[in-house]
Amino acid sequence: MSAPTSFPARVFAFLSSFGLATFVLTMLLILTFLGTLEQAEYGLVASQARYFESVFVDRIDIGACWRALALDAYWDIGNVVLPVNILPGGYTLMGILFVNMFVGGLIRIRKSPRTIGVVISHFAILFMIAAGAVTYHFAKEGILNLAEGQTHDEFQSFHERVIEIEKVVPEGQKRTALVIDQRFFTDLSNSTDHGKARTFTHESLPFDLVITNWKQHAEPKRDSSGTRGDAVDGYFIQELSKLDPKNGQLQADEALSQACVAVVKDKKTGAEQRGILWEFAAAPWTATVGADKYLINIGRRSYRLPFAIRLDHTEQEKHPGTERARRFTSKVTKLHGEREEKRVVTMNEPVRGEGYAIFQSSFDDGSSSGSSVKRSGFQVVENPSDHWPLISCIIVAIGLLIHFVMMLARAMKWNPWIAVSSTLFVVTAGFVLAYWKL
Amino acid sequence: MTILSSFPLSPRLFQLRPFLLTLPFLVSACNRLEESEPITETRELSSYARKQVVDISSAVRFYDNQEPETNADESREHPLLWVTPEGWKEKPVSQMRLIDFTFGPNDEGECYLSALPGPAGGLAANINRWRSQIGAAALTEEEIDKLPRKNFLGGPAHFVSVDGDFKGMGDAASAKSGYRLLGLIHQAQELTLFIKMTGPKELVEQNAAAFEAFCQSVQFRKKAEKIPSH
Amino acid sequence: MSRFSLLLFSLLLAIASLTRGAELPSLDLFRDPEITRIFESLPVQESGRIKPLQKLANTRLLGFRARQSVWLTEDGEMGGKPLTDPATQKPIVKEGGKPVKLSGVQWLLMSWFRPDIAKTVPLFKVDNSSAIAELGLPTRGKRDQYTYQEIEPARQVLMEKMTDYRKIPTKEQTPEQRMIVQLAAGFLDYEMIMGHFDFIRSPVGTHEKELPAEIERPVRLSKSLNAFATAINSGPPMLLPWFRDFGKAALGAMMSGNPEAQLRLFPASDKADEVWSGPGDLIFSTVNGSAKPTEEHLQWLAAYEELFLALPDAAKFKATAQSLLTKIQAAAAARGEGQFVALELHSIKADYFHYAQWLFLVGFIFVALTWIAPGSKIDKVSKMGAWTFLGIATVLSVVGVVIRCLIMQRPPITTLYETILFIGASCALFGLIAEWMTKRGLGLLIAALSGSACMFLSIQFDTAEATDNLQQLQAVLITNFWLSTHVPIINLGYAACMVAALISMIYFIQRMVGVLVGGSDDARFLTRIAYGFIGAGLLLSLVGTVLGGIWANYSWGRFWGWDPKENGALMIVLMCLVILHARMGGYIREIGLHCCNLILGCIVIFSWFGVNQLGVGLHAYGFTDGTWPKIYSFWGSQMLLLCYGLILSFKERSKKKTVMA
Repeated sequence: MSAPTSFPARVFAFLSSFGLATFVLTMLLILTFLGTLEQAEYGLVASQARYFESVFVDRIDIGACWRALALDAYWDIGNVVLPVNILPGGYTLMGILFVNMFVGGLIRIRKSPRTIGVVISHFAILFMIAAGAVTYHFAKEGILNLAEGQTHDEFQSFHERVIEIEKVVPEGQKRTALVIDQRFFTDLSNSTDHGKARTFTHESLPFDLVITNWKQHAEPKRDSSGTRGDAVDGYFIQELSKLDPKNGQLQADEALSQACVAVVKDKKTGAEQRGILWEFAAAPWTATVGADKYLINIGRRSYRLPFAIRLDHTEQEKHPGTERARRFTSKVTKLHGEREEKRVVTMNEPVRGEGYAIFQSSFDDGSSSGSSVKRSGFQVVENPSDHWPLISCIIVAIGLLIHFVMMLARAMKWNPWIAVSSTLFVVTAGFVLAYWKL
Repeated sequence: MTILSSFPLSPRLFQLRPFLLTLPFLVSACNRLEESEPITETRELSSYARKQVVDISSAVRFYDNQEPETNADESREHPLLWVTPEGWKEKPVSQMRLIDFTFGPNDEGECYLSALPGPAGGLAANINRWRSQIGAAALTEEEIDKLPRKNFLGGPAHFVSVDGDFKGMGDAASAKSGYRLLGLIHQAQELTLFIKMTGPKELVEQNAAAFEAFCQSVQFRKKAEKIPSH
Repeated sequence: MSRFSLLLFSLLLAIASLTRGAELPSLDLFRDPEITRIFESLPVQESGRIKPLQKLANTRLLGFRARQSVWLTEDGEMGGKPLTDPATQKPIVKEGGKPVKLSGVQWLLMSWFRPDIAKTVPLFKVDNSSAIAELGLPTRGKRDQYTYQEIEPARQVLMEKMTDYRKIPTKEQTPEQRMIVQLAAGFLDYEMIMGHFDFIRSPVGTHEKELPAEIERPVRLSKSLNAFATAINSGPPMLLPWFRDFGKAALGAMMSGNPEAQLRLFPASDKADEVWSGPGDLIFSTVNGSAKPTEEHLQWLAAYEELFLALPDAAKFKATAQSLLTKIQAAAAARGEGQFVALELHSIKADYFHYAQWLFLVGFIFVALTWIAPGSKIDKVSKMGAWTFLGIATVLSVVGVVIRCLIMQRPPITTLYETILFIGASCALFGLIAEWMTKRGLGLLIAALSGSACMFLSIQFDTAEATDNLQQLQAVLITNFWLSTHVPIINLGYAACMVAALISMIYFIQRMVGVLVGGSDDARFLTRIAYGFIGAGLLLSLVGTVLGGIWANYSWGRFWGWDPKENGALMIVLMCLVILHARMGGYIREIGLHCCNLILGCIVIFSWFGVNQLGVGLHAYGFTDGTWPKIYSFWGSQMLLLCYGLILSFKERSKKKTVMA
C-alpha cells in the first residue's frame, strides 16, 4: 500500500483504513457503555434514541452514569451533564462502519486463501447492518391485547403516540380517522415556554384543531377549588413523576400516560371548545361543530393486520407448588373473511404468516382485575428482514471459523484445508444434532 | 478515545481530523415545525374497533368516581383500599385485623375490619356473639332478617348498633359501661368481612359519620389495567 | 437388680411412653448412619422440583449460618467447648470426648425431634453486632453466631422492628435494618422448623381438655382432621381457646411461611395433580375448606405421624422411616418423578466443585515448582504433577456441571451461578488445550489460576445466595435448542476473553518481576497465544450474541433490544474487533495489545456481573454487601497493571528514540 497522492485516492484510502475502523468501533463501544449506564435513569426508550439511533449525541449525563455504577457511594459528584453536540451517534457510526467495511473489508482487502474467512465475515456483517437498517426503517411492531373470545385485526405501537380525529357516523358505516404523528405535538410541553401551541388543519374538517400543554406523563385532576386558570371542564392536567412510587425506578415508556389540551376552533364562527385528551381516558373527547360530532383522542398508533385474530383460549402453567410461570399458551383463530385457521401461540413458538409474526408476550388470568376473564398480550411484528440475521450469523460463523482455524493450523503446522473442513463439519454436525434432539 | 490515545499512534489516525470537522455540516436540516400544520395522514378503522361513544362526560372519561388516595407504600400488599377518617389513628395490621383504628381523645374508641374464610359460622352466630360482648340478648333469625342493611362493597351488608356494657372477649367483671357497638357484616361466597366499632356511646355517636365514610371507602384493591383495550 | 424392681422399671417405662414426648430420643439416634441415609435421600418437592431432603436441609442451614454443617459446640466451630444436653445435663460428645458435627439433614432431624438442644446451637450468623444491640441483647464480637435461646427474649422487639423495617425499600435500609429483617425472618423460620412435629407432639398446646368431645384423644390429625375443620368453621375461630396453638402447629407442619418453600413430601397417586402435598398443606387446606382430605392424604399423614410416635425406640424409628422412604419413593416413581434424587444426593456428597478448587490449588503449587529450575528433573516431575492434578480438577468440574444438567434435564447454564461453574471449567479446559498445543507451561498456569479462582468464586456466590442453586426455568427460557447453543457459546466467549486477559496479566506481572523481556521469544509467544484467544473470543462471543438475537427474534419478535446484558456482550465483541483492527493497522504492538486485553477483561467482568447490578434487579441488595466493590477492586487492579503497561511503553519508545538518535 503505497501512499496515495490524488484526492479521491486519499479519500478512498481514508475510508478503507484500519484507523477509521478502529475509531468507529471504539466510539461504538463507548456509546454502548454510556447508553447502557444511562438506561438506569432515563429508561430504555430514551437512551436508545439518544445513543443508539441518533445521528449525533447531544449530551452525556455523566452524573447518571456515575450513579448507575454505584460510584456515588464513594463520591457523589451530583448532576454533571456534558454537552457534546458533535459526538456521532449510533446511526452515523453504523453508516460509517458500513462504508468502511465495504470499502476496506470487501473491495480493498487483498484477496487470497488467507483472507477468505475475513472477506466472508465482513460480507456477513455488512448484511447484518443492512438488516438492522431495514428493521429500523421498515419494521412495525406493537401489541395486540385480547380477552378470551375477543377478535381484533389491529395492533398498537409500543411507543409511538398519535392524536386521532374521527367523525361520528351512523353505525355500520365506514370509519376513517385523521392521524397526527407524535413529532408534531410532543414538543408542545409548556414547562419552559408557556402556552406553546400548534394548529392542525384539514379541508374535510369544519374546524381547526389547536394542541397545547402536552405532557409525557400526566393525569387529569379535578379542579376542586375552581381556581386553576388552565382548568378545562373542571379538570386540569397534573404532571406526574416518571419514577415508580413503589421502587423509585424509572417507569417503562409503556406505563406513561400522555395528556394534552385540545382546542377546536370553528372555521365559520371562530367559536372555541376545549377538552383534555388523555391516553388512559375511558373514552375520546367529543367536540360538536354544527350538526356534526367529532371524537378526538390521544393514544398509541394503530396498525392494521391483513387478517383478524380471535383468542379462543389461553392458559398459564406454573412450576408445581410455586407461582413461577412455566409456560403460557394461547389458542387463536386466524380469520381471513370467511376462512378460519386454528393456530397455537406459545412461548418461543410464534405464529407466522403473511409477513407477520405473532408472539405470546403477556398473560393476565383476570384475578388481579377481579374480572376472571383471561387475557393475552400478543406482540405483533412485521419485519421484512426477519430472517436476515440468521443467514448472516451462519455466514459470519463460517467466515470467522475458516479464518481462525486457518491461523491456528498455520501456527500448529496442520493442513489448513483439512483443519477447516473438519472443524466446519464438527460444528455443523453439532448444531444439526442439537436442533434434531432438542 | 481513551484506548487509542494511550498507545503509540500512527499518523494515519490523524486522517480522522478532517472527518471530525465535517461532522457539524452533516446535521440534517431538521424541519422547523410550522405553527400551523396540515394533517396529511388518515387511517381506516376496522370493523372490530371499539364502537364510537359520544358525549362522555369528563368525570367518566377520567374515572373520577373513585379516588383511591392511599399511600402506595403502606398498602403495598394490602388486599383492600380505604380512606382513613380524619382524626383516626391507624394501628399496624395484625393477623386478625386487616384494618385497625383507634380514635377519641384517649384512643378509647376502636374500629377494625377483620375477615374470615367462608361463612365463618353464619350470620346469626356472629351478630349474637357481638351482642353478647356488649351484654345484649341474642336475636332470633327473623329479628336478624329485619336488621337494617348498608351498602358495602357493592352489596347490602347487615348493620348492627347495640348499646350496653362492653366486655369484649374478657369477662363480665371488667366490662366498660355506657358503650356502643356498631357492626357491619358482609357475607360473600369465599369470605366474610366484619367491621366492628366500639367505644363510649357519645364518642361513637360523634364518629358515626366517619364510620359510615370508612365503610363506604373500603374496596378491593384492583390492579386493573389502566389501558383500555379496543 | 431383683425381678421385682425390673418389673417396676419396665412399668415405669410403659407409663412414660404413654405420656407422649415425655422421654426424649437420644441425639445419637439422629447421627446414626442408617437414619441419616434414609432421611437425606427422602424425596421432597420444593420450589417446583423434586429434590432430596438433604438439599433442602443444606439450603436452610446455609441461609442461617453460611455453612452446610454445624458443630454442637458453644461457638459452633470445631474447636469449641461441647454443648450440654439439656435432658441429661451431659456434654454432647462422641467417642473420645470430641465434639459432634452435624450434617444438614442431621441438624434438621435434631431440630425436629430435639428442639431443646436445637435452641442452644449457635445458628444465626450476625454480621453486624449493632443489630443485636438494637434489640437490647448482650452482644459479642462484630460478627458472631447467636442461638435461638439468646434471641428469644427479644422476640417481641424483633417482630415489631421487622414490621417497621419491611416498609422501607430494601435499597434504603441501613445495614442494621437489613440485618434485623434477615434475622427476624430466620428466627421465625427456625421456630417453624423446630415446631414441625408439633402437630402430633402437641397440636393444641395445653388446651387438649377444651377440645370438642368428638375429637379422639390423644389427638392424631390423621384421624380427626375433618373434626377439627368442622370445629373451627362452626364459629369465629379466634374464640376457640386452642386455635392459636393449633395454627402455630399447622405453620410448623408447613415449615415455611413461603408457600413455595413449604415441606411437600406426599406425592399424589393422581398424576394430573402436579403439586405434592405435605403435612402443613394438608392441615391448612382442610381447615380453610379449600380442599377435603382424601383417604390417601390421611394415610400419608398417618405414616408421617408414625415417625414421631415411633420415638424414642431406635429400631422402631428406623423401620418407620425406612417404610416411609420406600413409600414416597414408590409413589414418586409411579408418577415418573424423583428419578434424579439419588444422583443429586450423590453430587451433594461428592461436592465436585469444592474438591476441584483444592485440586486446582495443588496444581498451581506444582506449576509454581516448575519455575524453580527450568529444564531440570524437578521441572519435569512437577509438570507431570501439574498435568495430573489440573487434569483431575478439570474433569471433576466438568463432571459436576454435567451431573447438574442430568439432574435438571436441561442445558448447563440458566443462572449466574452456573455461568461461573461453566466459565471456570471452560477456562481450565482452554488452558489445558493450549498447553497440549504449546507445551510451555503457560496453559497449565492458566488452568490453575482460572480454575481455582472460578471454583472459589462459585462457592462464595452460592453461600451468599443461600438458595437452592438448581433453579427451575423461567417461562421465557423454555427452549432447549437455544439454551444449549446460544448460552454456552456466549459463555465460552467470556471464558476465551478472560483467558486472553489473564495472559496479559501474566505478561505484565512477569515483566514487573523481571523474568520477561519485551520483544523476546517468550514475550512474543505470550502475545501470540493471547491473540489466539482474542480470536476465539471474538468468534464465540459474536456468534453467541447474534444467536441470542436470533433466539429473541424467533421467540419474542425482536432481534436486538439494547438490553444491558445484550449490550455487555456487544461491548465484548466490539472490544475484540477494536483489538484485532488496531493490531492489523499497526497501532498497537506487544504492550499495546496486552493493555487492550486488560480492558477487555474489565469489560467481560462488567458484562458478566456488572450489568446485573444496573437494573436494580431482584438480586441487587445494598451496596456494602453488593457486587460493585468486588468489581471495583478487579477494575482497580487492572488499571494499576494498565498504568504499568503505559509507563513501559513510554520507556521503550524513548529508548528507541535514543538509539535512533
